[in-house]
Amino acid sequence: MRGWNRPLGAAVLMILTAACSGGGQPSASSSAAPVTLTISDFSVEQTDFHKQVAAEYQRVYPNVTIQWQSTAQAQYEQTLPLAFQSKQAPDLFYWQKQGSNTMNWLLSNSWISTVSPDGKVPSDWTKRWPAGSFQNGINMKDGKVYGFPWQDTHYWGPGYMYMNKAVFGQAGLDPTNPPTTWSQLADTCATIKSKTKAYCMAVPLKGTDWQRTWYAMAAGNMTDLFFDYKNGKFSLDNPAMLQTFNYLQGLYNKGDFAPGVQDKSFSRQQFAAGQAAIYMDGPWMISVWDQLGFHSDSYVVAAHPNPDGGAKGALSSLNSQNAYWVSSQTQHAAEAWKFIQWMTNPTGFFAQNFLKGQFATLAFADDKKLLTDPAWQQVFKIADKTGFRVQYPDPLLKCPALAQSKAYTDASALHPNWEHQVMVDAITSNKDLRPAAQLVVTTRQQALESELQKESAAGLKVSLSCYEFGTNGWDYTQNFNTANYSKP
Amino acid sequence: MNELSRRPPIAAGRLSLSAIRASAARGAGPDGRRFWIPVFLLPFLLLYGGFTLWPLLATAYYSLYNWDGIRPLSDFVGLGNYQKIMADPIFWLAFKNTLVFAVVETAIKLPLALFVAILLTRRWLLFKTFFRTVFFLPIILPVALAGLVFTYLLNPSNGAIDSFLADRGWIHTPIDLLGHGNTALVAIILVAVWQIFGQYMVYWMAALQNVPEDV
Repeated sequence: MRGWNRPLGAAVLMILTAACSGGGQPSASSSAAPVTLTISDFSVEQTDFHKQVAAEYQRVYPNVTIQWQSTAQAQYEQTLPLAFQSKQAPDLFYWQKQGSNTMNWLLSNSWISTVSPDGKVPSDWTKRWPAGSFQNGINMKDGKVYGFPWQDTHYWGPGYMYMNKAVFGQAGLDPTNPPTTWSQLADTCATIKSKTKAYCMAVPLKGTDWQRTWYAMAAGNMTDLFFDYKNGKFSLDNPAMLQTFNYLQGLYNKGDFAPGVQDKSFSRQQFAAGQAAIYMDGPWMISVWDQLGFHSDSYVVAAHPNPDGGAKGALSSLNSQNAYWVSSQTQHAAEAWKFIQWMTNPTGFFAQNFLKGQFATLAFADDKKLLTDPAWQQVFKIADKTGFRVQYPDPLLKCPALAQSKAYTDASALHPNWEHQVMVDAITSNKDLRPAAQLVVTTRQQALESELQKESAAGLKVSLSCYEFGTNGWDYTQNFNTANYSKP
Repeated sequence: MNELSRRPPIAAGRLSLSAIRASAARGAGPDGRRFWIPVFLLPFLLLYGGFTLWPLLATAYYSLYNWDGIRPLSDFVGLGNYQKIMADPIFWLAFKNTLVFAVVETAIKLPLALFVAILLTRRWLLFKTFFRTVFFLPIILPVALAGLVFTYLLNPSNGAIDSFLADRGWIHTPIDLLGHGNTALVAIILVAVWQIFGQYMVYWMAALQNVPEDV
């Protein structure tokens, strides 16, 4: 029996050590122990780049293996919740569905933990982003950081007009002198139609793809959102929105749109193949065109045209691009934080090669310096003009209790994509949009207001005034002054 | 004498006790059938239960909750979801479209299939096998593929049908059959008939084999 004392004692010591190690918390990994860090997103087009990232990171940190899994978006949005339910969530994941309310939604589902094991981050890390990027209620809570802006929201977004140089040339038009007003756009379309065999505009109408043209044109007249943040009201039936729609319907009826209810892929291919002269979308098209073999020497980028009397609105910019999160189920919190710091180095391997691949802009990197394609330079010039894209107010920052409110989400979820459906139906059937728009707005607004009242009656400090910013003097053509959040 | 001849003769219709025991052990008797029937049914039942029955029951159960598919099931609404959908005009529009599709498609494909089947069973018709094959071929195409092919053919921007009609001067502006509600339904019905009527043609032909030609 004596011979068993030492091994028995060692076994007891090991058991006691394990029991006392705090099994409920994710453990900070030893930097020497081999670690596999899993990252999930739906950036399938970046798969090769992810492999380079994994190789480079392992070169720098040999004990860490990065497993970056990208799947198609629809599949990803179904399987990620299942992964969390079955306790097989990745260490880091991409999620951004709820816009600026994403963090609150993820916290309510217990999906995320702080970016660093203790929630505190050094100031030299937050300084990688513009001032004001870290906001309580958006990517911070109770002083702890949960997220970080991924893509920038100044250059990235809808509103750019791409013009096919060849088609413009055939029509005798100069794409470097683009139409800047609605009348000029209509005239350009008439010329293209009469002098070429191409269509004027490739406009996808399938599903929600209509938004690519709609957001660009609606922003110039009021807003690219379906909610009026000046008056706290859903806005499709607003006279300015109806005016924008009627203008586009007029172009459609004149045959200025390529015919058919096409999806975005088809419309993009039409544009690249010279079957259409104009396509509207975001700067992500630069890499899409490249993949289609249609490079920046074949097209020109310009700002969307505005109403003849001048811009009465602008595209919206919100702090809604907090996209990568540390999973609450990670067992490698320290390693995840180390990777985030490495990834968000503004001049590091990741930023340099990500921007070289032109996948997107990055909120923490010098996009202007690292994105060298001439098309990107055109994008920067357009977006830097005052009034192209403005900082919108965020109701969450005015009324933090909205983090627990479901009123707006539920009102928006009534008939998802209803606005797109009624607009496409009206445009293809040549119907007046007003009755359908009024139905959409009335239904959503009633749902929003009744739910807010119920939540308020239950003690939540929310009301419709949380969504009204016009009384603060804000207008759609201006950046919202964040000091006005504290004004009543 | 061989082994078999040393065995007692078996009376007609009666088995020896040892034979009965032996067959029961092999599972061939009534007791054996009771054992093997469920064994053979089990794989199917497992698959059916797991992939058809369970999802059906789970769906019915989930339909009683206001659930986003992610959070725990907590917001019981009873028949609230059904009340909402019954009050939704888009649901009734979809219902109407589906009903029209089913009725009109059936009303076209059955008589058409019968007519073609009668023709193909005529003695005087030449190249019967060729026509039978051509009419039957669409049925082997997956439905999704057929839909995709016709989406391309009917595309008003560069589809083959519009291009053919425009080249001959029969149309001057593209016809967007799939872009308008009424024409889209007609187009879908015709494509569905094209794809499926060959199957019914074969059914009719099998039935017509027993009908004298002069009838």
